[in-house]
Amino acid sequence: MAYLLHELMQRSAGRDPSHEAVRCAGRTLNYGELNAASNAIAQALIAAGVERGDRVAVYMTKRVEAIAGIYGVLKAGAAYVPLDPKAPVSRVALVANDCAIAAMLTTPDLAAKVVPELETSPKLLVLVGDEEAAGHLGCDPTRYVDVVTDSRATDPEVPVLDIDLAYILYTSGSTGTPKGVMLTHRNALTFVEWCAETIGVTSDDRFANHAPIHFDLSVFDLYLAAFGGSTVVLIPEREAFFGAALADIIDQEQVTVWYSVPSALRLLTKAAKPGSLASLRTVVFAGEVYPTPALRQLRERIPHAELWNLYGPTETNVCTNYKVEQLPPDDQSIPIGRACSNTEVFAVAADGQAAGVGQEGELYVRGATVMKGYWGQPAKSAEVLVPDPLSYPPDLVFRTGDLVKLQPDGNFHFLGRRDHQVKSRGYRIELGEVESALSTHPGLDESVVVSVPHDEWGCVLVAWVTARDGVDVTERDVRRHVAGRLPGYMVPTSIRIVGQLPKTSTGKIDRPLLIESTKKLRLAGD
Amino acid sequence: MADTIAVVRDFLINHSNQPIDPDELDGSRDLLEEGVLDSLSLMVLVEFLSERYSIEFDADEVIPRNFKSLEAIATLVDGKVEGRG
Repeated sequence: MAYLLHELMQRSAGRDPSHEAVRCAGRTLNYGELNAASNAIAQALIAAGVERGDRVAVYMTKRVEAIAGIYGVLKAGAAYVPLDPKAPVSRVALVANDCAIAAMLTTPDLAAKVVPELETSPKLLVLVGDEEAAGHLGCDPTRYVDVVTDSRATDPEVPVLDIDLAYILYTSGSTGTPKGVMLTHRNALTFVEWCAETIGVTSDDRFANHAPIHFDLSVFDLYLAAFGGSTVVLIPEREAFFGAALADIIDQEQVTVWYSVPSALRLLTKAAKPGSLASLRTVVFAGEVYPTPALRQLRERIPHAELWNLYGPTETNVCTNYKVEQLPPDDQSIPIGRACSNTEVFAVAADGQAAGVGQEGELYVRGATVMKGYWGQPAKSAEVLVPDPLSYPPDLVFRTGDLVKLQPDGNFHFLGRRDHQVKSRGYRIELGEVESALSTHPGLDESVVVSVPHDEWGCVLVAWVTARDGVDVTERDVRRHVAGRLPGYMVPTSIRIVGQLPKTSTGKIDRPLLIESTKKLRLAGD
Repeated sequence: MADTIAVVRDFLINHSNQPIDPDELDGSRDLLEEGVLDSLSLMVLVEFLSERYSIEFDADEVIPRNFKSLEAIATLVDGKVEGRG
């Protein structure tokens, strides 16, 4: 058994170096090339002074070099921090500075934006593409092509343990600062090995990577493919939300295993022509509830494929699974299922006791997939990594904040959140973080963000704001302000500037009333 | 064409999830590479165009090539409007 993520790739490279490992937009790296490129990148990082435990940012749109970069970082004993190439540069810099990145792999256009915002100059800046475009960065960039031409570079064999960090994924934070979820090699491998056992994988499999690399769904695609010596096809960001384009990629690339959020599968179901999608053997989804009527349409479109519903906050990788056999006839949503290997899940009722069958409770997770904590935030980590309230100390368990109910058949059912976290297209959004971005607008007085259910997207966000006395603000202006601070998926679909916000008798903003008003809005075309 | 570009341009400035500088949003700018259009704003745009021009989009028309720039969108929309008449 491998104990480190990069050993999966290395093992496959040893078995069949000429097998295609990664494909993206017509370019391919086979396992031998991927291994050689990652060795060269690892050696360059080490030569520049990157040490075990350092953080290295991978900041680019999808391309084969990003994957070589990720393995290079892991082989150097460092943790990779995938940064969202579409997020505003202020937020990207916030994240990069938060975890004090030691080095960065990026493209010239993105480097030109973010490098001036970094608090410390990276020890190594590797640019994929033409470095001329980066201009004056205040540090000497190294060209990716120059790094990887060193074909003699061998595996640095840095001593790394399975409890070392493999990557940090940043997720929305309720107080306005994103939280870096620290995951170890063991956390990810436990999940990947469970997938290999349960969902199965062979070298003939072809995985699609639909999720962005900074989203934890990508862990399945990248490392289960590496485990199996299979091929992973990266779907470029610009095609990821066009159903017809996704169907074409599946057919042309003969994708066998697909993993994404349900909203992407719904686009695919609508756009796919009869006879299309025949290559799929397994479709896995996670990140949000898949409405049963839509899931039924997917099943009718691909009756030959196995369907799996996976559940788990980023902090736990994935912790429960449910293989979809029968769809509930009454269109009730399907369960999130039961615990994966090496994981324990249980629900705690409001009175602090174990929630029994049929009783609502908060889901807790214990085991090898649970994160180490949030980067640099011990207090926040301690709020969610708590002593087991029902069992023996000292192992810590993760409080998910998700409310669930155990069914008589042993499957858990997801009911909702106990706080203001919502999901849109699978992305986690803390409404508090959006409100915090609005509150920095100098012309706004009060602001509140509500989420309402949406048929296609899980939910949409609407901001209700009031302007300061005598200040003239426009929706366009507020939108630009927020869009300059938050990733696109957190920007409210509609921003309503009103004279005053409704208040309850105790003077608090009346959220339930605003939610009702929001449900009546038309969200497009006005 | 120019009219349609202006309509779409205005709509995107008001609805994109990216901080767009209106001066930089010309007809040939790549809307997909920089995320001016994303899954949600594409859906809202398609809904808006359908209503505004009384047209319907087939799934195989909603593809990156047809939505990559203001010009591409306007060409698609104008073509559909003419076809309808």
